[in-house]
Amino acid sequence: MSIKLKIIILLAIVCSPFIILGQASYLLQEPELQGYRLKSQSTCSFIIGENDKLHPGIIQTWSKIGMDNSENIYIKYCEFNNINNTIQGIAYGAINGYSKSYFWGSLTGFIIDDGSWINYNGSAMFFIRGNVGVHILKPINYNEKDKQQLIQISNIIKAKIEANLSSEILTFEQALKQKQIPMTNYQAITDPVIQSDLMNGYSIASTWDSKWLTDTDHVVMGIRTEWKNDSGSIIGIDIAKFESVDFAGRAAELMNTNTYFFNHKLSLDNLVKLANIFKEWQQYGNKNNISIVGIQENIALHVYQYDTTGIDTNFISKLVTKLADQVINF
Amino acid sequence: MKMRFLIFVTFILLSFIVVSQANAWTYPISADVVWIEFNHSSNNNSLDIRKNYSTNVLKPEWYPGSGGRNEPIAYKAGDDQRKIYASFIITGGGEGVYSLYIDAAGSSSFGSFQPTWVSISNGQGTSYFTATSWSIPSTVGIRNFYLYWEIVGVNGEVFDGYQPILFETTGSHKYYTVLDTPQSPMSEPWTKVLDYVCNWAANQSTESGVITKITQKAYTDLGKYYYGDDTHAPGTTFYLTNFFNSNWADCRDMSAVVQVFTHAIGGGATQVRRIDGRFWYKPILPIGWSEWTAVNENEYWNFHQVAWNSNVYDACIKLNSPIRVPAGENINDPYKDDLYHHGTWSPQSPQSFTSVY
Repeated sequence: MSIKLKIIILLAIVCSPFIILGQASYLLQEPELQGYRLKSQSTCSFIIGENDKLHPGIIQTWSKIGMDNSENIYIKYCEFNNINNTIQGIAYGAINGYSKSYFWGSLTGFIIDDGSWINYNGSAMFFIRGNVGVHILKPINYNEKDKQQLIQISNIIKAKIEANLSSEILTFEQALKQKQIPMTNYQAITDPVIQSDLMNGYSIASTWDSKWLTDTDHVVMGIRTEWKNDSGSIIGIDIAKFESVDFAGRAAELMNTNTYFFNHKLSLDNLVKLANIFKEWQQYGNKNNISIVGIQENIALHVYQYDTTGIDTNFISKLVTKLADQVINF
Repeated sequence: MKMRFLIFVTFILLSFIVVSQANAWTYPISADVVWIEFNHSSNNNSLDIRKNYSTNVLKPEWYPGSGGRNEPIAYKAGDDQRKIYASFIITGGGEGVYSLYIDAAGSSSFGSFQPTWVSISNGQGTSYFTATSWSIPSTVGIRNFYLYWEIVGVNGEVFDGYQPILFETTGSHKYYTVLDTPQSPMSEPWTKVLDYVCNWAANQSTESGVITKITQKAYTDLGKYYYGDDTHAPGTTFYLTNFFNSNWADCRDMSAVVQVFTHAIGGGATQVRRIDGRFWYKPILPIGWSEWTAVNENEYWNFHQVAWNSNVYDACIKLNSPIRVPAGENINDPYKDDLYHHGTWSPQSPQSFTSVY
């Protein structure tokens, strides 16, 4: 083998994360982050599975112009070969990969794209879109004024990812959409609840084609809609329909483990466990976020709320109960 | 006959003149040390060290003519077989010199080097020098020394009637003393790591003494702030360069610091140990924090990780009752007793970091 070829192979190995990430098509660039300079960019690892299974990524260190390291923002990117691995890998890392768990949510309360998780004080988040996972954090001196900065960063990056999704991913999503629960079915379940007195004051804010893993090889597309009221409370309802009860069960289990660290899965025809979920949430959960997964036959339901004034478990209980009735009678 | 005698005498006289001209060096000879290499390619050299992941220590380590280069070096504690490699140039009085007998007296703890004949050609020469019977100190540390270079003979003859010529003093040369041969994953220690460890563990001569000092000093002197939502040390890989360039750390980072830094100076028994949870903890003072935590729903860990050498070495936190950085503590009593509040406590088998970037 010639020396030139050996050098090329060595460079390819060293630079492989950069190559995998499509040569920085969605990496944040300096003009896009006002007041910051890109201090460094190098390789890193994402924790994506048990026994600290790792996946290569890129880490950018952004330092605020004129400030020391205490105002640094770190952005990490990784790319997987398919949507399934992205969801499972990033979710595992967010829930189990670090000393502190992240949980299903975001800084705004609206879930970002295919999924997002935040830490307890909002200084760090994960989000995924397609086959790309992103980790944004400001470890030191995080306060409320940094919140808008991190939201802005996530908005810029998610737009860039969207604009650069590969044709394979887009084709895959189009195929998923063919088997997605029809909007008419979704609305048949949700409309009676949304239009009831319980949801007075809430108006629709976003709709997304959600992704439910059934296992490492299969993804089912659901519909996720979020509603918001004037107080800033956000309700999310995500529903997916599966080919079988077995698939629905597996998907619900994965949604359960991938969104919150304690067991918040229940059977929609037997809501006795709801009290236990609330008890565990009150003991261990973040007081501004709650997430509940339910299953009935081949339909899975994911309900979550973000409310900075605190979660009213009576409200959530009534919401879940009404939705469960709709699913059972569907 | 008379003519033959005259020619013979003339020949003899001319021979004396030639020989006397051949011995035309002038006392005192002046010379310079051009460079000194400690980590040379022969045996009994100093330890292999580097500046960081991507940058080697340039050699020769002492080379004023190359931008004033004066790099540090490292030796094992008690090393008594040192050899250095030096280059010289004659700057005056050297006409007719074809060899110099040179020695170097060392200041403080480094010892001296035996007189050695250095072949001179075109006014320059290089040679290895073997240390006299003098051992590197037996404790960890950062030390400095000077070398006082002398000419004590010329052209095969030791000075008789001449004083040794002290022609240059080199240094100060900085050197690290490590416990033993550096171990993987830092078998070629970074000087930044040695600056920390050999200072923190100064005067220690055992791995247990070293690891205790590293644990305590890493908590107080690294300038890190505890942040459990990310890590520089996932799995068995320690991104030390990134760690040095940031001002936060999690428990895995701090366990990696203790293990890797101990290995860097030859301590090979230290590992890390994960304690799987989830568990909620009693009040602790995480590294860099100014206030103790309180027992509440947010004060939990999915897991915690510590350095391990038959006992716990935790450079990430302080525990209460008494207030201390846990170093050399039994994992159950007192470590778990003072840390664990409720939840799952499941210590895993010790393992090691194997890669450092």
